Amino acid sequence: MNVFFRIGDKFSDKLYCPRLIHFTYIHTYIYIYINIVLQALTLQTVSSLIKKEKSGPSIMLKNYIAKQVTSDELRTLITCSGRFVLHSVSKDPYDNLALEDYLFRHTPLPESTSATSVKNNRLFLYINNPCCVIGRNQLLWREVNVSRAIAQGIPLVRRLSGGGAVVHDWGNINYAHVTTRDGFTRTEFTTKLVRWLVERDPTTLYSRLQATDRGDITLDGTHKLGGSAFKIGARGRAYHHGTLLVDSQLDQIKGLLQSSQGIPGVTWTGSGVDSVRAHVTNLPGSHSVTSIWETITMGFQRDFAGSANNHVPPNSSSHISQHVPVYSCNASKLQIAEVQETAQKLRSADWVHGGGPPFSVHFGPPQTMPERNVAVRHGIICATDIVGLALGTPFAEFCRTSRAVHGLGVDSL
Amino acid sequence: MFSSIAKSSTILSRSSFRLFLRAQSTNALTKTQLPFAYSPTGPASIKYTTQHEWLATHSDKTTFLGITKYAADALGDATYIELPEIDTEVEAGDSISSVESVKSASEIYFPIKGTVVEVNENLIENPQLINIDPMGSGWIAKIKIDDEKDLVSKDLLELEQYENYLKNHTEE
Repeated sequence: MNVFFRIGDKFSDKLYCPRLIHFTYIHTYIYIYINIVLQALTLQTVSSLIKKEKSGPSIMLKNYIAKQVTSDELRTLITCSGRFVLHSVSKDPYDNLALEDYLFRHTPLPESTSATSVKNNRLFLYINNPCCVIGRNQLLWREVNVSRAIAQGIPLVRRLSGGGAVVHDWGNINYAHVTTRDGFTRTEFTTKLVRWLVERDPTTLYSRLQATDRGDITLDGTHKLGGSAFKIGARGRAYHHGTLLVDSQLDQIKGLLQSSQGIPGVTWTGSGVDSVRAHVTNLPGSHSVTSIWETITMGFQRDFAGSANNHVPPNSSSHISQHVPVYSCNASKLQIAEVQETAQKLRSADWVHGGGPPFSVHFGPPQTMPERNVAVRHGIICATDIVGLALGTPFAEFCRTSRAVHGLGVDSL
Repeated sequence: MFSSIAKSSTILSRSSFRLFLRAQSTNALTKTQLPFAYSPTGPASIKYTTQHEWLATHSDKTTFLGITKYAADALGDATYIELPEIDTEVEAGDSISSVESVKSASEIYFPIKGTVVEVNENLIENPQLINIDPMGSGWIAKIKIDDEKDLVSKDLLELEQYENYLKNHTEE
């Protein structure tokens, strides 16, 4: 059964990848084999297989093995000195962000506080299931077409860091570089990342990629390959996290964010942070998510090697570098109370809908005449001139029914 | 980002320069603004943290909290300031606010025990006040502290110590 699932994984990886042209005969045979086996399977097994296929591609590392760690081992690794790379096999955006926050809060500061002291730099890599992610201080409904996301079953996520709205899917790699606040720059990590990518494929990428002052990566100066956000605090720590579009289904992403023109008749007022709109594109050239994942991991191992503090586990099978070990865990299965609590908070309506600044929304022509207003604080309607709309109603609930009941809407249909 | 400033702090450390420094440092309180002018004689104590917050405490235990000029310059243009709720009881070391600038959310800590009595609502509409006058009109919160004795701590620095800290901890 295990062997079968491995084939299934590989197969779904290929299916997901649009470059079907590379299908070999072997894959075709596997395909036929799977079809035959599928027919022989019970209904229950078929549904579990489909579920497996729906869980997205698996990262199958070729050049090294990431050592799987238990919750206890991970807690020790994070709270002790040393640099490492951590991979999460979970694709749950809330659980991955919760682990990222735990890593940020519990990474020890260097013992010496001088600017030249060795820091406990850590790299966390993960891939999320398709989801819409907004910055900590954004107005959810101004950024995301919430009704469309709900209709498509796409989760809504409010980050703990700043920045704008972005859509994730399985073709997008998320990285987080945890470092210290002293000497933190917005470009340190992306500058390195650009170099690793160019070294990998100079023919396609030389002089085309740029790490911008805002921490983004652009292609030819016109299109964004990835965005960034930052968190500074937790007693002298900082992280830079961001996305890298490798093989995303960009056409499906488009309609989930609100258009820059907004919705006719809807005006937002509030002090929240606006997203900066950008054209996005995947990394050019033929790269799989797995291979770029490896490139980032090995680039980090190379550039951040040389710390004497590093703990090298006795059974490490990493042969690329003994200095910066690579670990793997499942953020959704960790028995670490703080991670679970953060994930629960990130999932809650209080945080997703109720977070961010207070705001008002004004409905005018062509939606309605006379004009109507709704004021919202902590996600709850605190003032309105719409007859029949009770104060205290969650704004999310109002949005779900507003078109049918009041003829008003904050999303395009 | 954090390394770009502190150029104004090159002449420190010699005690004869202290008075000069107090008048010249960009990390000194703005005398015309509320955090300083709240009481006629000015604050009884002005302390700094290594996380780049300042605390100006007046004789009635009223303490204004803000971020230093160094921090404001390092963060860049502020786009949103998350303010604490009034009446929040703050434990020493709690994160009570955050400043967002160029996609960074920076946590603001309060190092001692107290209760939030007022927040600077001007920051809601004008977050850039943090950049224009971080040591004055860009104050974040007014907090009644429980005990002035808490201000005596090796983690709470005088202006000279803070400037020295900046000198030693930022890469040129």
